[in-house]
Amino acid sequence: MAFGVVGALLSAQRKMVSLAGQAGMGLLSAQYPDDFEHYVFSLDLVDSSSRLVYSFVFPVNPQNVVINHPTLWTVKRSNQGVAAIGTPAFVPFEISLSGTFGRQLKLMESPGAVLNAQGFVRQRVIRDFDTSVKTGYGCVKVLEKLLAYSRQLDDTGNFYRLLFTNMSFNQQFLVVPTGNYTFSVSAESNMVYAYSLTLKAIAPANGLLTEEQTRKRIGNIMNANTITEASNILADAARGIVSDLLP
Amino acid sequence: MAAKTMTAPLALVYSNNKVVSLLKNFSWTETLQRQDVRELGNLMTVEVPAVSYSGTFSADSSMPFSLESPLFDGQVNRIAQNNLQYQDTVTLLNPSFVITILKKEVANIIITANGQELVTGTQNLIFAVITRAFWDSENFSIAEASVGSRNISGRFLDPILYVQ
Repeated sequence: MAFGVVGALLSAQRKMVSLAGQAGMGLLSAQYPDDFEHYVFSLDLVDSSSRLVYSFVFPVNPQNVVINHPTLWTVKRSNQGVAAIGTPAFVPFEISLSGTFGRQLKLMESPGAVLNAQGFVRQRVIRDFDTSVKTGYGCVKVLEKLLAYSRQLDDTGNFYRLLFTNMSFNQQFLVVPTGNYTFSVSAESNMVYAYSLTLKAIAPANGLLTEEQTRKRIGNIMNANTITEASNILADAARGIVSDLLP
Repeated sequence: MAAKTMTAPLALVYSNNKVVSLLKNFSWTETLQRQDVRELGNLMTVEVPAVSYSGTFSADSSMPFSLESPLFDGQVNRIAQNNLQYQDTVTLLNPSFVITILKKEVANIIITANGQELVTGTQNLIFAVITRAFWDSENFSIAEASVGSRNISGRFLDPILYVQ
């Protein structure tokens, strides 16, 4: 009996290692999202028609993520007994993120618009340094712009929307920044900006997107993550080249 | 020449182009503090950006013996007339000093009649310069059967650059 259990475990482990080796943990997670996690986080700005404006795949994952579900039930005590009141509807919950993006250059590939001094635009402006390469500070500025845009109106007069994807917990939600969000730097972490933000999940993302849109979006996030991971090595070299060009 | 072992170093303290102290022992430590940038899902540290620089030194000297002469020009002058003068010097001037480390090099060499080399002249070349140095503590000790010695330790603000 015991041998059978151990054998099943070893078999599952072999299968997992084989699949991870062939396709990577990303695809393993995409295929079995509730069995294998993949540490990728993304904040996507979409317009009111759910068209992607900008996809921000965290180039350095947060250092801390807290998912805080509120109590679903309200319990009332009466003279005759106890009444519990619940709801089958979606209950909004909080997601807190904090971390830093370091200081080195990161490759930020987004299939949507690019971010420059004018905001999120579809066309690059010639005086942009390089909208797809960001320092840690630049990444924080992207995050700041995304949160600011979520309070603005798009061309049709409706609010932009923020979609938060947490592949490490298989979550995709429409979120709004409800709590304070802070960006901080101090002498102890000189020239390295840290962020801390609280988002409130107000609806599952699959209620907004079609299955095709969801699949495409996850594909984009995975691609961007792969590019970002590879680019962390290249960024060191790029940084050297940039330094050489400076007077 | 540069690859040679430094066997005859001299740590002289210069002030106004004259030597004010000769140090017996001298050591410095430069420290770069770095911040670990870590992320969820990754065992390795992503990067370690430098966030601060600090430099400290300690120096021992057996000369000059007089306590009235500061070991480093810019140190607190102990011939202050009263406590207030001492405090005013520390708070208002807070002067820094420069430590220059020299190395002894062969300046002239001749071949003697028996064919052997003979050093007939040496020169002191600047090896490293420590600028904007400040003292933090000073210690004086005297013991039986030994000369009195003074030790000071402090910090410097600029990175040490070798003089080529």
